[in-house]
Amino acid sequence: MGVLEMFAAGFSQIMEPQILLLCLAGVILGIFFGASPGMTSSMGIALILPVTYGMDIVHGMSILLGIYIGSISGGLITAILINIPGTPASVASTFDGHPMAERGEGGRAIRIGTLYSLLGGMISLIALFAISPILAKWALKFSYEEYFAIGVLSLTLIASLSGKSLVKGMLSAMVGIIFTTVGMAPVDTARRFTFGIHELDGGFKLLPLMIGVYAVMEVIKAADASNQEKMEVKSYKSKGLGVSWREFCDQFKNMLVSAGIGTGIGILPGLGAAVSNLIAYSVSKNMSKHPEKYGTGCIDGLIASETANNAVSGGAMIPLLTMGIPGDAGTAMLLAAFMLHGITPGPLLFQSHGNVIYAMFSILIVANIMMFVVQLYGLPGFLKLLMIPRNILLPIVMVLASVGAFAMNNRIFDIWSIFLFALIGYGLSKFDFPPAPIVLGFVLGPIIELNFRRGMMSSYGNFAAFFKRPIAGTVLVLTILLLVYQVISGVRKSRQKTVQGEIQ
Amino acid sequence: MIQADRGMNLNRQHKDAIIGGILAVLSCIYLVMSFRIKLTNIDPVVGSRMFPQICGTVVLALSTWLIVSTLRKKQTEEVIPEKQTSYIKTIIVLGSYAAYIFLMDKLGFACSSMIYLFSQMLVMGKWPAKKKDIIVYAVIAVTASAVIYVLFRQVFMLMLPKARWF
Repeated sequence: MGVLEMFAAGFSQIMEPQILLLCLAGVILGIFFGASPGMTSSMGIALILPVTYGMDIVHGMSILLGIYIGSISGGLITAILINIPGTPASVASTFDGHPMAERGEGGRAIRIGTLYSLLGGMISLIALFAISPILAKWALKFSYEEYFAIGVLSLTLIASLSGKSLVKGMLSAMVGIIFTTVGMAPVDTARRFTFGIHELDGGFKLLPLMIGVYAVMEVIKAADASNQEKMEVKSYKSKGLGVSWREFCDQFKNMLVSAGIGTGIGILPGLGAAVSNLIAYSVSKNMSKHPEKYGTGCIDGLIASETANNAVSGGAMIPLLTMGIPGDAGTAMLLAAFMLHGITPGPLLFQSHGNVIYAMFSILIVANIMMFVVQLYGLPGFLKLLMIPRNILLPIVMVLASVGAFAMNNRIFDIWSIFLFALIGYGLSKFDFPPAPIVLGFVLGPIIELNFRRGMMSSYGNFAAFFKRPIAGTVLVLTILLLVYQVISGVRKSRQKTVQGEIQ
Repeated sequence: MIQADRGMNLNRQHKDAIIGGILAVLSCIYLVMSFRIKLTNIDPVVGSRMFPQICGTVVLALSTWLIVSTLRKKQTEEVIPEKQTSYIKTIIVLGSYAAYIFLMDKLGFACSSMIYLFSQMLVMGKWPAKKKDIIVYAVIAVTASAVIYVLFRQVFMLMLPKARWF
């Protein structure tokens, strides 16, 4: 079957009113989660995931992908109109978006941001459609050694790039991995760290961990903040798409470069939309003939930020679908959704569930278009929703989170797990440990252990065999080089700071 | 001013050393416990102990690194002011969530959720609460619990915790 025929089959699967309505609901929820400071896409997906238990995979993914796409773009609403980015993905959008709003061009800024969110998302989807089938075919040749090596590299990237400190990032990831060692061991099903507690035999589950670390911890943080900032919304009335044809042509290169940055960062595990918008903004500024205008409300910076953060969505799906390795917390949630529906993402997915993959590709296209329309025309509604007091909204989020964890296995134990992970996540965040590596360590831990043990068994306990395979060996050497580089640059920075301090 | 900044910085350095110490102790306990894992004949090459032992050793090494690098840092490093936080509210939020989970097992989903939602809205809102706000919170607590119950139980056909005390 050719690609076009597969797409036709994908669209024919999703062109049902129920699926389209679920996708629309997901996009609306996603924009709301994205626009609300302190609420993230990961939180939205974790809360809605239990609702999809009874649905088939295509119905379930339509609402979850809707949330994923909507939430990345939704952050621009509060970033532009209130100067508070709804998500870290929209930090750079405040630099030029809010100055535009201050001079009465808030509506135009939102329209430009929404248009380039759509274009960034669509360009990254083209990369997803083009790269993922080829990468999946290549990944079919992977054995235990390759999966082990890629798992270790992903973990190292996540740990070293997601926080300010390499040691803290790695410790966060190790905390996540250590929790995967509770329960039955892979290969020989030996009981580990269960302390005679029957509920621990099955180990901790991903959903309570994600809800604890992301949803509940955000609620605690919101309670932490003693003074809530008063939201002052700027005027947002406007018409059209915000850019003229000439401006569109002038910004074409900026858009393509930013989309390339976003897609590339999406493919690499650990960075995500939170970093892509800042990198694209600085690259755009460096490339520009008038860098002095950046930060004063010029559309170039806004276009770079919004194109890049949405372009992450397509890029991050590539390692998830082809190797089963999530690129960020949002795609880790999608991985959990796949597993709950009995599907394991990986190269075989393209052969065994090709129809699901192409249905997902089609949902991503539809979700991007829906995001564009809903965000453009539903803005007054979202702004009203954002005015719901936090002390009413957040307790309801806690109740929904608890219901979601319970509904998975009908055990109160899973809700206590949420509490435990919220405590750990909150405690570690107070010591500046990044939360994302905890979740990704928990996802990658079993992949690393299982493939390590199988690889060691097949080589009769000789670890050097991992280095003898070309791909696994190259990836492991890359990981070691990355670690050495991170350590050396960390030591250099520390020395520079000490010298500067002594001079002062 | 410089003295105050240095004092705050020292505090931050102490925090890193403390968390490093806690993690080092926990990793030692974890390593000792890993020796209690029973080995089977299915996988005599690696066994179920090796991976936890590698993880424990890595955490111990990293936490030691964190302690040593923190203690070696001079007081001239970056100064990041502490954010104003209300820990009493945090403890109340955590405590009431633990009470909610306990009550959910005893009173069932609907009753415990109503009590939790009402008390949490009151705690997280402005204090002292106005009479009108209390009525609004009560109405929202009852409505939200009922809507979530009907939605999950009747529409999505999912199980919710049942009362044990009744």
